[in-house]
Amino acid sequence: MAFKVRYLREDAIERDANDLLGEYGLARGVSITAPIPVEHLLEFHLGLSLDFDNLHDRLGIPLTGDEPDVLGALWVDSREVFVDQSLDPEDRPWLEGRYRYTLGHEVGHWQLHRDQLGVSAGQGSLFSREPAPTIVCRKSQAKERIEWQADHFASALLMPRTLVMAAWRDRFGDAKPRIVRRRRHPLQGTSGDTPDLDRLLARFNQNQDDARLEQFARPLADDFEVSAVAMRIRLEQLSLLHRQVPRQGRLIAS
Amino acid sequence: MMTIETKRTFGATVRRERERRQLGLRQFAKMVGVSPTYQSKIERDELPAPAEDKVVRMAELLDLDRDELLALANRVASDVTAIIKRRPRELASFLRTVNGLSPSEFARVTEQAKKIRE
Repeated sequence: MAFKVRYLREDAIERDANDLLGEYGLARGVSITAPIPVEHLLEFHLGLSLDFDNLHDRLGIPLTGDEPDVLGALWVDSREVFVDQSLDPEDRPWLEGRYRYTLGHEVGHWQLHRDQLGVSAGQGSLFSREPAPTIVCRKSQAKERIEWQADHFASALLMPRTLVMAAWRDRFGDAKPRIVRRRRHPLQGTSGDTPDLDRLLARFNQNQDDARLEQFARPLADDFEVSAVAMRIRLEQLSLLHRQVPRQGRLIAS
Repeated sequence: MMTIETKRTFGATVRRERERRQLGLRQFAKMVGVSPTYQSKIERDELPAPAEDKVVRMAELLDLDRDELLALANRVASDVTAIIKRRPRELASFLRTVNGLSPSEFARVTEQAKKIRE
Protein backbone atom coordinates (compact mmCIF):
# COMPACT_ATOMS: atom_id res chain seq x y z
CA MET A 1 0.00 0.00 0.00
CA ALA A 2 1.52 3.23 -1.07
CA PHE A 3 0.70 6.11 1.20
CA LYS A 4 1.39 9.52 -0.20
CA VAL A 5 3.77 11.07 2.24
CA ARG A 6 5.49 14.37 1.67
CA TYR A 7 8.92 14.52 0.16
CA LEU A 8 11.75 14.77 2.68
CA ARG A 9 15.32 15.58 1.87
CA GLU A 10 17.92 13.08 3.00
CA ASP A 11 19.56 15.63 5.27
CA ALA A 12 16.22 16.39 6.93
CA ILE A 13 15.75 12.69 7.73
CA GLU A 14 19.32 12.53 8.95
CA ARG A 15 18.66 15.50 11.24
CA ASP A 16 15.46 13.96 12.63
CA ALA A 17 17.30 10.74 13.48
CA ASN A 18 20.08 12.69 15.15
CA ASP A 19 17.63 14.81 17.12
CA LEU A 20 15.94 11.67 18.41
CA LEU A 21 19.28 10.23 19.53
CA GLY A 22 20.11 13.53 21.19
CA GLU A 23 16.80 13.55 23.08
CA TYR A 24 17.28 9.96 24.13
CA GLY A 25 20.78 10.64 25.41
CA LEU A 26 19.60 13.69 27.31
CA ALA A 27 16.59 11.94 28.83
CA ARG A 28 18.69 8.97 29.92
CA GLY A 29 21.78 10.93 30.87
CA VAL A 30 23.95 8.77 28.64
CA SER A 31 26.24 9.51 25.75
CA ILE A 32 25.31 7.74 22.56
CA THR A 33 27.79 5.11 21.42
CA ALA A 34 27.63 2.18 19.04
CA PRO A 35 25.70 -0.06 19.01
CA ILE A 36 22.70 2.26 19.24
CA PRO A 37 20.24 0.92 21.87
CA VAL A 38 17.36 0.93 19.40
CA GLU A 39 15.27 -1.62 21.30
CA HIS A 40 15.36 0.42 24.51
CA LEU A 41 14.73 3.63 22.62
CA LEU A 42 11.65 2.15 20.96
CA GLU A 43 10.20 0.56 24.09
CA PHE A 44 11.01 3.09 26.77
CA HIS A 45 11.86 6.41 25.18
CA LEU A 46 9.06 6.35 22.62
CA GLY A 47 6.83 4.11 24.73
CA LEU A 48 5.95 1.72 21.90
CA SER A 49 5.20 -1.89 22.73
CA LEU A 50 7.24 -4.51 20.93
CA ASP A 51 5.87 -7.87 19.83
CA PHE A 52 6.78 -10.79 17.61
CA ASP A 53 4.43 -12.83 15.51
CA ASN A 54 4.03 -14.51 12.17
CA LEU A 55 2.89 -11.36 10.41
CA HIS A 56 1.64 -13.06 7.28
CA ASP A 57 -0.74 -15.13 9.43
CA ARG A 58 -1.63 -12.25 11.71
CA LEU A 59 -2.46 -9.88 8.89
CA GLY A 60 -3.95 -12.49 6.59
CA ILE A 61 -1.42 -11.80 3.85
CA PRO A 62 -0.61 -14.96 1.85
CA LEU A 63 3.03 -15.95 1.85
CA THR A 64 4.53 -16.07 -1.62
CA GLY A 65 7.99 -17.60 -1.84
CA ASP A 66 10.11 -19.10 0.92
CA GLU A 67 10.86 -16.00 2.94
CA PRO A 68 8.35 -13.69 4.63
CA ASP A 69 7.75 -10.47 2.73
CA VAL A 70 6.16 -8.66 5.69
CA LEU A 71 8.86 -7.90 8.26
CA GLY A 72 7.27 -5.25 10.41
CA ALA A 73 4.05 -3.42 11.13
CA LEU A 74 3.11 -0.35 13.11
CA TRP A 75 -0.18 0.48 14.79
CA VAL A 76 -0.02 4.21 15.44
CA ASP A 77 -3.15 4.53 17.63
CA SER A 78 -2.26 1.75 20.02
CA ARG A 79 1.49 2.44 19.81
CA GLU A 80 2.35 -1.13 18.85
CA VAL A 81 5.25 -2.41 16.78
CA PHE A 82 5.22 -5.98 15.53
CA VAL A 83 8.26 -7.68 14.05
CA ASP A 84 7.97 -10.90 12.07
CA GLN A 85 9.10 -13.82 14.20
CA SER A 86 11.48 -14.95 11.47
CA LEU A 87 13.66 -12.08 12.74
CA ASP A 88 13.61 -13.17 16.41
CA PRO A 89 17.22 -12.30 17.31
CA GLU A 90 17.52 -14.94 20.03
CA ASP A 91 16.22 -17.73 17.82
CA ARG A 92 18.30 -16.53 14.87
CA PRO A 93 21.27 -14.55 16.20
CA TRP A 94 22.74 -14.17 12.73
CA LEU A 95 19.80 -11.91 11.86
CA GLU A 96 20.51 -9.48 14.70
CA GLY A 97 21.43 -6.75 12.21
CA ARG A 98 18.28 -7.16 10.17
CA TYR A 99 16.17 -7.26 13.31
CA ARG A 100 17.67 -4.02 14.57
CA TYR A 101 17.26 -2.43 11.16
CA THR A 102 13.58 -3.36 11.19
CA LEU A 103 13.19 -1.68 14.59
CA GLY A 104 14.98 1.42 13.29
CA HIS A 105 12.69 1.37 10.27
CA GLU A 106 9.53 1.25 12.42
CA VAL A 107 10.91 4.05 14.61
CA GLY A 108 11.38 5.95 11.36
CA HIS A 109 7.72 5.53 10.44
CA TRP A 110 6.74 6.61 13.94
CA GLN A 111 8.90 9.73 13.83
CA LEU A 112 8.39 10.76 10.22
CA HIS A 113 4.95 9.54 9.25
CA ARG A 114 2.61 9.12 12.18
CA ASP A 115 1.21 12.65 11.84
CA GLN A 116 0.71 12.28 8.10
CA LEU A 117 -1.33 9.10 8.27
CA GLY A 118 -4.98 8.91 9.11
CA VAL A 119 -6.25 6.82 11.97
CA SER A 120 -5.77 3.11 11.21
CA ALA A 121 -5.53 3.75 7.52
CA GLY A 122 -3.98 0.33 6.97
CA GLN A 123 -5.26 -2.32 4.67
CA GLY A 124 -7.96 -4.55 6.05
CA SER A 125 -7.11 -7.50 8.20
CA LEU A 126 -8.85 -10.83 7.92
CA PHE A 127 -9.31 -10.73 11.67
CA SER A 128 -11.74 -7.89 11.71
CA ARG A 129 -11.93 -7.89 15.52
CA GLU A 130 -8.49 -6.37 15.52
CA PRO A 131 -7.80 -2.98 14.03
CA ALA A 132 -5.61 -3.11 10.94
CA PRO A 133 -2.09 -1.76 11.27
CA THR A 134 -1.40 1.78 10.16
CA ILE A 135 1.66 0.72 8.20
CA VAL A 136 2.64 -2.73 6.95
CA CYS A 137 6.27 -2.94 5.85
CA ARG A 138 6.98 -5.32 3.00
CA LYS A 139 10.33 -6.05 1.44
CA SER A 140 8.68 -6.01 -1.98
CA GLN A 141 7.62 -2.39 -1.45
CA ALA A 142 11.00 -1.06 -0.30
CA LYS A 143 11.08 1.39 -3.20
CA GLU A 144 7.93 3.25 -2.15
CA ARG A 145 8.71 6.73 -0.87
CA ILE A 146 7.33 6.01 2.62
CA GLU A 147 9.44 2.87 2.90
CA TRP A 148 12.53 4.50 1.47
CA GLN A 149 12.26 7.32 4.02
CA ALA A 150 11.93 4.88 6.90
CA ASP A 151 14.94 2.94 5.60
CA HIS A 152 17.02 6.07 5.41
CA PHE A 153 15.94 6.98 8.94
CA ALA A 154 16.94 3.51 10.19
CA SER A 155 20.31 3.86 8.53
CA ALA A 156 20.95 7.29 10.06
CA LEU A 157 19.67 6.18 13.47
CA LEU A 158 21.71 2.99 13.71
CA MET A 159 24.79 4.39 11.97
CA PRO A 160 24.96 8.09 12.87
CA ARG A 161 27.33 9.99 10.61
CA THR A 162 29.56 11.27 13.43
CA LEU A 163 29.90 7.83 15.05
CA VAL A 164 30.64 6.13 11.74
CA MET A 165 33.24 8.77 10.87
CA ALA A 166 34.83 8.31 14.30
CA ALA A 167 34.86 4.53 13.94
CA TRP A 168 36.38 4.91 10.49
CA ARG A 169 39.16 7.16 11.84
CA ASP A 170 39.80 4.69 14.67
CA ARG A 171 40.18 1.88 12.19
CA PHE A 172 42.17 3.61 9.47
CA GLY A 173 43.80 6.53 11.23
CA ASP A 174 42.30 9.05 8.81
CA ALA A 175 38.97 10.10 7.36
CA LYS A 176 39.86 9.43 3.73
CA PRO A 177 37.64 7.28 1.57
CA ARG A 178 38.75 3.84 0.41
CA ILE A 179 38.26 2.05 -2.87
CA VAL A 180 37.60 -1.64 -2.83
CA ARG A 181 38.83 -3.23 -6.02
CA ARG A 182 37.32 -6.15 -7.80
CA ARG A 183 38.93 -9.45 -7.00
CA ARG A 184 38.84 -10.54 -10.61
CA HIS A 185 37.81 -9.12 -13.92
CA PRO A 186 34.10 -8.66 -14.41
CA LEU A 187 32.46 -11.08 -16.79
CA GLN A 188 32.05 -9.52 -20.21
CA GLY A 189 28.70 -9.18 -21.91
CA THR A 190 27.88 -10.05 -25.50
CA SER A 191 27.70 -6.44 -26.72
CA GLY A 192 23.96 -6.50 -26.90
CA ASP A 193 23.47 -9.71 -28.91
CA THR A 194 21.70 -11.44 -26.04
CA PRO A 195 20.24 -8.76 -23.78
CA ASP A 196 18.97 -11.26 -21.18
CA LEU A 197 22.40 -12.76 -20.73
CA ASP A 198 23.94 -9.29 -20.56
CA ARG A 199 21.54 -8.31 -17.81
CA LEU A 200 22.33 -11.51 -15.93
CA LEU A 201 26.07 -10.88 -16.22
CA ALA A 202 25.68 -7.27 -15.16
CA ARG A 203 23.77 -8.39 -12.08
CA PHE A 204 26.38 -11.04 -11.35
CA ASN A 205 29.18 -8.46 -11.55
CA GLN A 206 27.22 -6.08 -9.36
CA ASN A 207 26.69 -8.80 -6.74
CA GLN A 208 30.39 -9.66 -6.82
CA ASP A 209 31.27 -6.03 -6.22
CA ASP A 210 28.70 -5.71 -3.44
CA ALA A 211 30.09 -8.81 -1.74
CA ARG A 212 33.63 -7.42 -1.83
CA LEU A 213 32.48 -4.14 -0.34
CA GLU A 214 30.44 -5.93 2.31
CA GLN A 215 33.43 -7.99 3.32
CA PHE A 216 35.27 -4.73 3.78
CA ALA A 217 32.38 -3.20 5.76
CA ARG A 218 31.94 -6.20 8.06
CA PRO A 219 34.12 -5.09 11.03
CA LEU A 220 32.30 -1.76 11.21
CA ALA A 221 28.97 -3.56 10.77
CA ASP A 222 29.83 -5.71 13.79
CA ASP A 223 30.66 -2.62 15.89
CA PHE A 224 27.27 -1.10 15.08
CA GLU A 225 25.36 -4.42 15.15
CA VAL A 226 23.98 -3.93 11.68
CA SER A 227 24.22 -6.20 8.66
CA ALA A 228 27.21 -5.89 6.37
CA VAL A 229 24.80 -4.88 3.60
CA ALA A 230 23.41 -2.00 5.67
CA MET A 231 26.90 -0.80 6.59
CA ARG A 232 28.12 -1.06 3.00
CA ILE A 233 25.21 1.08 1.83
CA ARG A 234 25.82 3.60 4.61
CA LEU A 235 29.55 3.84 3.88
CA GLU A 236 28.86 4.41 0.20
CA GLN A 237 26.28 7.02 1.10
CA LEU A 238 28.79 8.81 3.34
CA SER A 239 31.30 8.62 0.44
CA LEU A 240 33.72 6.64 2.56
CA LEU A 241 33.61 3.59 0.36
CA HIS A 242 33.89 3.58 -3.41
CA ARG A 243 33.75 0.92 -6.03
CA GLN A 244 35.42 2.93 -8.71
CA VAL A 245 37.82 5.84 -8.85
CA PRO A 246 35.92 9.10 -8.80
CA ARG A 247 37.05 11.74 -11.24
CA GLN A 248 38.28 14.05 -8.52
CA GLY A 249 39.78 13.75 -5.07
CA ARG A 250 42.48 11.58 -3.61
CA LEU A 251 41.64 8.05 -2.70
CA ILE A 252 43.61 5.27 -1.17
CA ALA A 253 43.26 1.84 -2.67
CA SER A 254 42.85 -0.94 -0.18
CA MET B 1 6.43 -7.51 48.04
CA MET B 2 3.88 -6.15 45.62
CA THR B 3 0.50 -7.74 45.41
CA ILE B 4 -1.43 -7.86 42.20
CA GLU B 5 -4.14 -5.28 42.55
CA THR B 6 -6.01 -5.36 39.27
CA LYS B 7 -7.56 -8.71 38.47
CA ARG B 8 -6.47 -9.24 34.93
CA THR B 9 -5.15 -12.00 32.75
CA PHE B 10 -1.76 -13.58 33.27
CA GLY B 11 -0.23 -12.11 30.13
CA ALA B 12 -1.53 -8.58 30.62
CA THR B 13 -0.33 -8.59 34.22
CA VAL B 14 3.16 -9.70 33.30
CA ARG B 15 3.37 -7.13 30.52
CA ARG B 16 2.11 -4.28 32.69
CA GLU B 17 4.50 -5.09 35.54
CA ARG B 18 7.43 -5.65 33.17
CA GLU B 19 6.90 -2.33 31.45
CA ARG B 20 6.48 -0.57 34.78
CA ARG B 21 9.97 -1.77 35.68
CA GLN B 22 11.33 -0.73 32.28
CA LEU B 23 12.44 -4.24 31.43
CA GLY B 24 12.52 -4.77 27.67
CA LEU B 25 10.69 -7.72 26.11
CA ARG B 26 13.87 -9.36 24.90
CA GLN B 27 15.83 -8.65 28.07
CA PHE B 28 13.04 -10.07 30.23
CA ALA B 29 12.60 -13.14 28.01
CA LYS B 30 16.30 -13.81 28.38
CA MET B 31 16.11 -13.52 32.17
CA VAL B 32 13.20 -15.97 32.22
CA GLY B 33 14.88 -18.32 29.77
CA VAL B 34 12.41 -18.19 26.87
CA SER B 35 12.52 -16.67 23.39
CA PRO B 36 11.22 -13.13 22.82
CA THR B 37 8.61 -14.52 20.40
CA TYR B 38 7.27 -16.90 23.05
CA GLN B 39 7.28 -14.18 25.71
CA SER B 40 5.46 -11.83 23.35
CA LYS B 41 2.71 -14.38 22.68
CA ILE B 42 2.32 -15.23 26.36
CA GLU B 43 2.00 -11.57 27.28
CA ARG B 44 -0.70 -11.15 24.65
CA ASP B 45 -2.47 -14.20 26.12
CA GLU B 46 -2.28 -15.84 22.71
CA LEU B 47 -0.48 -18.83 24.22
CA PRO B 48 -1.25 -20.46 27.57
CA ALA B 49 0.92 -19.47 30.53
CA PRO B 50 4.22 -21.32 30.71
CA ALA B 51 5.32 -24.06 33.11
CA GLU B 52 5.38 -23.41 36.84
CA ASP B 53 9.12 -22.74 37.09
CA LYS B 54 8.88 -20.01 34.45
CA VAL B 55 5.87 -18.42 36.14
CA VAL B 56 7.72 -18.46 39.47
CA ARG B 57 10.78 -16.94 37.81
CA MET B 58 8.63 -14.15 36.34
CA ALA B 59 7.09 -13.49 39.75
CA GLU B 60 10.56 -13.22 41.29
CA LEU B 61 11.83 -10.89 38.57
CA LEU B 62 8.74 -8.68 38.83
CA ASP B 63 8.56 -8.83 42.62
CA LEU B 64 5.03 -10.26 42.49
CA ASP B 65 3.47 -12.84 44.78
CA ARG B 66 4.23 -16.20 43.18
CA ASP B 67 0.99 -17.85 44.26
CA GLU B 68 -1.12 -15.02 42.93
CA LEU B 69 0.72 -15.11 39.61
CA LEU B 70 0.39 -18.90 39.50
CA ALA B 71 -3.35 -18.54 40.07
CA LEU B 72 -3.56 -16.12 37.14
CA ALA B 73 -1.74 -18.80 35.15
CA ASN B 74 -4.43 -21.30 36.24
CA ARG B 75 -1.94 -23.22 38.32
CA VAL B 76 -1.36 -24.10 41.93
CA ALA B 77 2.21 -24.33 43.20
CA SER B 78 3.38 -27.94 43.12
CA ASP B 79 4.43 -27.81 46.79
CA VAL B 80 0.87 -26.80 47.73
CA THR B 81 -0.60 -29.65 45.67
CA ALA B 82 1.83 -32.04 47.37
CA ILE B 83 0.73 -30.83 50.83
CA ILE B 84 -2.92 -31.40 49.95
CA LYS B 85 -2.17 -34.85 48.55
CA ARG B 86 -0.42 -35.87 51.78
CA ARG B 87 -3.44 -34.96 53.98
CA PRO B 88 -6.35 -34.90 51.51
CA ARG B 89 -9.24 -35.31 53.97
CA GLU B 90 -8.09 -32.83 56.59
CA LEU B 91 -6.95 -30.23 54.10
CA ALA B 92 -10.00 -30.46 51.85
CA SER B 93 -12.23 -30.11 54.87
CA PHE B 94 -10.12 -27.22 56.20
CA LEU B 95 -10.15 -25.39 52.86
CA ARG B 96 -13.92 -25.79 52.55
CA THR B 97 -14.31 -24.39 56.03
CA VAL B 98 -12.16 -21.33 55.51
CA ASN B 99 -13.45 -20.70 52.01
CA GLY B 100 -15.20 -17.33 51.88
CA LEU B 101 -13.54 -15.81 54.93
CA SER B 102 -12.50 -12.18 54.67
CA PRO B 103 -8.78 -11.29 54.51
CA SER B 104 -8.77 -10.22 58.16
CA GLU B 105 -10.48 -13.44 59.23
CA PHE B 106 -7.91 -15.38 57.23
CA ALA B 107 -5.18 -13.51 59.03
CA ARG B 108 -6.69 -14.54 62.38
CA VAL B 109 -6.90 -18.21 61.35
CA THR B 110 -3.28 -18.13 60.16
CA GLU B 111 -2.24 -16.48 63.42
CA GLN B 112 -3.99 -19.20 65.42
CA ALA B 113 -2.38 -21.94 63.34
CA LYS B 114 1.06 -20.41 63.96
CA LYS B 115 0.41 -20.39 67.72
CA ILE B 116 -0.63 -24.05 67.63
CA ARG B 117 2.59 -24.96 65.80
CA GLU B 118 4.66 -23.18 68.40
